[in-house]
Parts: sequence; structure tokens; C-alpha cells
Amino acid sequence: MFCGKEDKLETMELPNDSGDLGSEMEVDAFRRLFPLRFYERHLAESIRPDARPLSRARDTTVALGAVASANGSALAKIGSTTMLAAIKMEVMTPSVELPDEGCIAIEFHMPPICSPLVRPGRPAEVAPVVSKQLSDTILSSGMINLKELSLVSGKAAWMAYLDIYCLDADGALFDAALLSAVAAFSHLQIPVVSLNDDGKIVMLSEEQDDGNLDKGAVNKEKRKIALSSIPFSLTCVLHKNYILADPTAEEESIMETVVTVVLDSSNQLVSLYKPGGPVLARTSVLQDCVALTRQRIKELQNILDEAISGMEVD
Amino acid sequence: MGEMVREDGRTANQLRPLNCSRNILNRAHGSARWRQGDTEVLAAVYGPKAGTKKNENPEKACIEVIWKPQSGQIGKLEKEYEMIMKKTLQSICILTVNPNTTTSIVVQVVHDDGALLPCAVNAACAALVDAGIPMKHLAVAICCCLAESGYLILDPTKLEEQNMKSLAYLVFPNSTTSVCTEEASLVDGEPMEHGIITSVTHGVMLVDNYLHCLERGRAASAKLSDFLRKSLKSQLQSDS
Amino acid sequence: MEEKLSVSPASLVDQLVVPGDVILDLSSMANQTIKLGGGLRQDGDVISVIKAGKLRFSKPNKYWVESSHKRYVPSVEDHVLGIVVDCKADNFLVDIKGPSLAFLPVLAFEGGTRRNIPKFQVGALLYVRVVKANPSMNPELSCTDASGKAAEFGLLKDGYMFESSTGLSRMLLSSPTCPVLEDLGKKLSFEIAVGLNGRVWVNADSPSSIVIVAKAIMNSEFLSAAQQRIMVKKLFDKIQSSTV
Repeated sequence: MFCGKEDKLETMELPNDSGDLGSEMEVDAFRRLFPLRFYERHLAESIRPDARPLSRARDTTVALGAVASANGSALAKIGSTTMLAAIKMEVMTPSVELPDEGCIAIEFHMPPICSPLVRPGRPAEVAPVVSKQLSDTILSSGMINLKELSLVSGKAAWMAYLDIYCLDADGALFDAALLSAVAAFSHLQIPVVSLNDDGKIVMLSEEQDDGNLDKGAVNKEKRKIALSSIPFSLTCVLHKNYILADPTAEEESIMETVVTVVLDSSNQLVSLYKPGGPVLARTSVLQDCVALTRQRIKELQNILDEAISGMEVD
Repeated sequence: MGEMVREDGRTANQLRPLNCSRNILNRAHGSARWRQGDTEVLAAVYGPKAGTKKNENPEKACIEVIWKPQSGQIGKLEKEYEMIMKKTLQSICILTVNPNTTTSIVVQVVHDDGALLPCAVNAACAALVDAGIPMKHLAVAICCCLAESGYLILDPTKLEEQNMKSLAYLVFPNSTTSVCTEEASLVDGEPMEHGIITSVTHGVMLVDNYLHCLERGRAASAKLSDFLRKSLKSQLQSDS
Repeated sequence: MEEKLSVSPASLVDQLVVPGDVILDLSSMANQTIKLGGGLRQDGDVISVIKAGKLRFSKPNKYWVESSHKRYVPSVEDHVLGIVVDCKADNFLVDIKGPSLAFLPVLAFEGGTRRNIPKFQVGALLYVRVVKANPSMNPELSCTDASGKAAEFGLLKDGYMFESSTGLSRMLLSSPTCPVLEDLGKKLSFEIAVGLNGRVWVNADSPSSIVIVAKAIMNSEFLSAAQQRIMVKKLFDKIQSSTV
């Protein structure tokens, strides 16, 4: 994939400005010394250094059930960006204001292994920000009906702890994190619980399952949670008039304007997030980003459906 | 769409009374207080100071934002605000004039009655002007709120924010005075101030509703940038 | 947006400009040389403003934005007041209120040689000239004028130094002499050194005179010429009435 591209670069430099420093320089050195010009050369040819057209996202895979000890888990990869999401369910007492609603706590972790920019002992600056964005998106999209997480009104409800670990950070962190979170929820199986003699909710382990089923079990069997209007996102990088879908970490750091669009399955806008950046986004650019996201969510939906049907066959 | 009555009797497009004062802190290199109705934010700028932090590009100036909430400790929300503010301010400052320096902006929330982030962006922008940090242009921030019915209001109070279905924080460049003819200053057929610096949304909305927000936000941003220019002018005149 | 009507550069002069305003369109003025001062930058084919302040124009072709700040951006040939923060073998490190410390080479004195390196204590106040000011490098200072003479540069002994803004410094240095200094000078005898970096040093025979001068200058920052005169007069009236 790579060498083919680099050959192309050398050939395309020659006919251009001949007195240019770039024409005599090794491609790799040129890339390091003039990263922006390196990219601009590519963009002018409507191609990216990893041989993708501008609007194509990287190969995306989802694997469900990556963590056996969790109630629901998924491993999502977009290019080399890798996210592991796992959900642990616990029983809690619901708040007084919302007695028949469960709760979801979302935490995004960036351990030092994920990127050279993260140092051990110093938490990554972006981790709490992505965390916040994820919980805003998941909770405001209405994907999960929190009422469904209720067990006994006012007494007991489910608390879903969703932890997302970034294993490799190579751009578009939010997209991959959201995908893994959605996949983990679609894999989630709510465990069986029963009321014990003291009126407390206890979780039943696998072995006890059969014997205790009829004895006041609150959920009769493991069940899946219904997901409505699943949110999917696409991050784009803007540079001049170009829109690059699904940027790598290198692209994000060189061309600093990032736009993340989150749409749900009915094409409603869940979030449009553009934190600053040197490029001022015009309405038409934002509309283009939304259009790209529309295409992308179809792809993502298919990938997720395939992963789910793959699980069911097993 | 029927006219919706707002608690404080404003029309949908009406902003709360604005107030901006600069150079109010003696020790800061630049400071400003920005008030929109009862929402009030104090911003102080220190620097540029020598050196940048790790992981920052030493060939450029570094902008650092420290968010101080009205009370309590900072959490994820404040971290997110810090990040949004930092990226927004980075994009309006000229970072190549003072390379390898750090400029700190301390944002102190005095009172939060809705549209807090836009108010903080406006305050920080005024404080940067006061400190004389080189800037490409100014920024004006506005909050649009969207009701279930698709009805749109600007500059909501806290109560309105809570009752609405979704909201969008938008930051636009200010409208500038230019010696160029109108056509020359257009960027691809649109004036520069129509470009969006920052957009943050909460809650689900239709794409068309969002575009509607942009339109109304732009109209309001023209008012805001007029106000900003006037307030800068009145304070400069007293200097000389 | 109503301001989008074409504006002539002349109408902007002496007006408030804010960052982003475009004051000159270079494409419409071929073969003209213009000189840009602080607060302006060339952005492609236009000259735009990067700091808020009053746009000034001096014939034939100089444009700059006048503003007042608490922080100083070093620029060549500015006379500033610096405080020694460290002494190294080749340089004194001097704080001039800029983004980074300035270097004062130990030889940058009149007749400076390796043998007669001056000794300054940390905290000493110097009146110096900026000779190099490049971004990404520490600025360089000198204690001589362009011809290598000590001129008025060097250590400021005794007296009292206070910090104000760059705007106040420019006002004090403007000619004709600003009213506050003129009126003070009629009543008192004192020495003053004003650095463009917003530091002012005052010395006089008696501490009370120093206090009066310093106070009067600090008060004058936001006053007009007439107000300054009234302020100085009031100050002296008050002192006279209190001493009687």
C-alpha cells in the first residue's frame, strides 16, 4: 500500500516547480521536514499518503465479546485506532428523583501504551474530554431507555459501568470509542438477579441459575437491552477546501481543524463538534461533513449488524 | 410557529443586556469581565511567559486555559470547557509572533445563569485584547436553544437551557471593518464572519434545525461584535 | 455587516481598530512603499490589524497601532528599564518585562573590555537600549548608544522605580513634554528615566518629592492634558495645606 504511493509522490514532484527543494529530497525526509506541503501535494491529487481517497474511512472492524468477565464487551478498530469497551452491571438504589431509571457511568481511559504523547503517571489531557463527549452523546441520543434498567421501582436499578480503553490512538478517537461503546451495549446481556429473603437483590451465578429461576427472580432470564436510534459518528479534518474523512493521528496534528458529526439512525443530528481550528467552517462545508457522515453510518451499521449476526451463529 | 413567551419577557432573538469591562485586575497582564444578564465571567491573561509545556510545539506560542468554577472542584465538564476554550482561542491568536512562550488565561465563573461557555469565550477574547496578545481577529460566542417544536431562542437563561430539548454553542469571527471592497473580502462567496470557529451541541436535533441555529447565531453575532467594538472604543478613549 | 461598505484608509486613521480589521489593500496600491509599526501585519494582499488600539499614520508612509499594555514586546532601539536577575560569565540576564529574559553582554559598555567588566548585583536597575529583538531568541541589550558612548545608559542608583503601562511611558516620552511632567518640573527638581517597557524611575533630593512625582505620574495615566494640570495643582495644594 505504502510504496506504491511513495513512487507516485516522486513522479508528481518532478514536473512541478523544478527549483523546489522538495524534488531533490528523499520522500521520508520531505514528509518530516515539510509535513504540510507533503500533505498538500497529495491532496491536490485527491489522494492521501495511505492511498485512501479523501472521503474514505479506514478499514473498520468490530469484535463482540472480547472480555469474558464483563457483561458486555467489544473491540473496535478503525485503521489502527483500537478501542476496547466493556460493561459491568451492578445493582444500585436509584435516586429519589428518578426512582424507576437506571444509570450509565462512562469512563474513557488512555493508558500510556496508546500513544507516545501519553506519559506514565500523567493522565492524558483529552481523556476526560472524550469521556464527557461520549456520555453526552450516548445519554442524549436516547439510544438506551434508562427505564429499561430499572428492577424494582424506587428500590433497585441497574448501574452500567462502561469503561473504554484506548489501546492504540491513531486519530478519530471519538469515532472508535463511540463505535466500541455502541457495540458493547449491543452485546450486553443483563444478568439474572433475584430477591433474596431479606428483600435484597442478589446476582445469581451461572450454577445457581437453574434451581433458583422460579424463586422470585426479577429477570427471568438473561436478556438483551433494546437499542433505539443508535448514534454513529464521523470525524473529518478540514484543510483549505479539502475535507478528509476519518483522519489518522498524523493528519489531525498537521491539519488542526477537526469536525466530529454524530448522527443517529434516523439521520438526526446528535452532536456537531468543532473545537476551534484555523479553518473557519462554512455552512456548505458542514453540510458536506454531514453528508459524509450519512454515508459512513450506513457502513458502520452494516459492520455492527455483521458482528452481531456473527455472534448469534456461535 | 407561535411566539413563545420567555420568562423575562424577551423576544426569541433578543440577547440579555451585555456588559464588558476591561483592565479590572491590577496584577494580570490583561483582564476582562463579561456579563450577559446574570451570567458573569471574569477572565485574566498572564503572559506571554517564556517556555512551553511538554507536548506543545515550541515553534509556536502555547495557549493555556484554566477554568475556575464558581464553587467546588473541577470535573470532566470543566476539562471539556478548558479544551474547547483553548482550541478556540488558539485559532484566533497569531501563534507565530511569540514562539516558545505560554500565555495563560484564567477563567473565573462569577455567576452561571445560562450560556456560560459563550460568555467565557467572550470574556477571554476581551481579556486577550486587553493584554495585547496578537490576534487574527476577534471571536464572538452565542448560545442557541431549540425547543421540542423547533422553536429557537438565543442567549438562554439557565432555566431555559434546562427546559429545552437541545442547544448549540457557536463561536463566530467578529465583523471587521475593511478598506477592501465587499466582493474582495468574501471567502468563496461568503463573508469571513460567516465561518464557524467553534460549534458544540447538546441534545438531538434535525440537521435543518442546526442550520437554522447557524443563521440566527450569525445574525446575533453581528450585534455582539458591534457591542464588543463599542466597548473597546469607549475604554480606549478614556485612556488618552 | 453594514460596515462592509468600502472604507478609505484615511478615515480609519486615529480611529479605534480591532484585530481583523483590514486597513490597507496592497493590490490597489502598486509601487508604494509603506512602513508598518506595531500591531499590524501583512496577510497576503492586505494589511490587517492584530492588536486593538488607535490607528496612527505619520507622513509619508508609516502606519502603526497605538495601544497600552502591561507587558512589553521588545523592539530594536527601544530604551527600556531592566532589572538584573542573574550574572553569567558573558552576559547579565535582565528582566525587561518581555516574554523572555534579555541578555546584556558584559562587554556592551563604553570601552568595555574583559578587564573592566562592571559588577551589578542581582536586582540592580539599568537603563538600557534594545539592540536585537528577534522572535524565538532572547533579546539583546546594550549600555551604549549607537556610537559606543555610554550616553545616559547604565545603572540607576537610588531613587524609586514603579511599573505602569507602555501607554503611560509613551505619553511621558512624547514631545512636547506632557503636562504632568511640565507642571511638576516647575515646582520640583527631580530626575526621571522612562523605559518604553512601562517602567519609570524617579529620583529627587528628598523622599517626599519622589513620592509626589511618582504619585502624580501614576495618577495621570487616564487623564487628559487639562485634567493632568488640575490633578498636579490639587496635589500641591493638598501638600501645602497639610504642611502649613
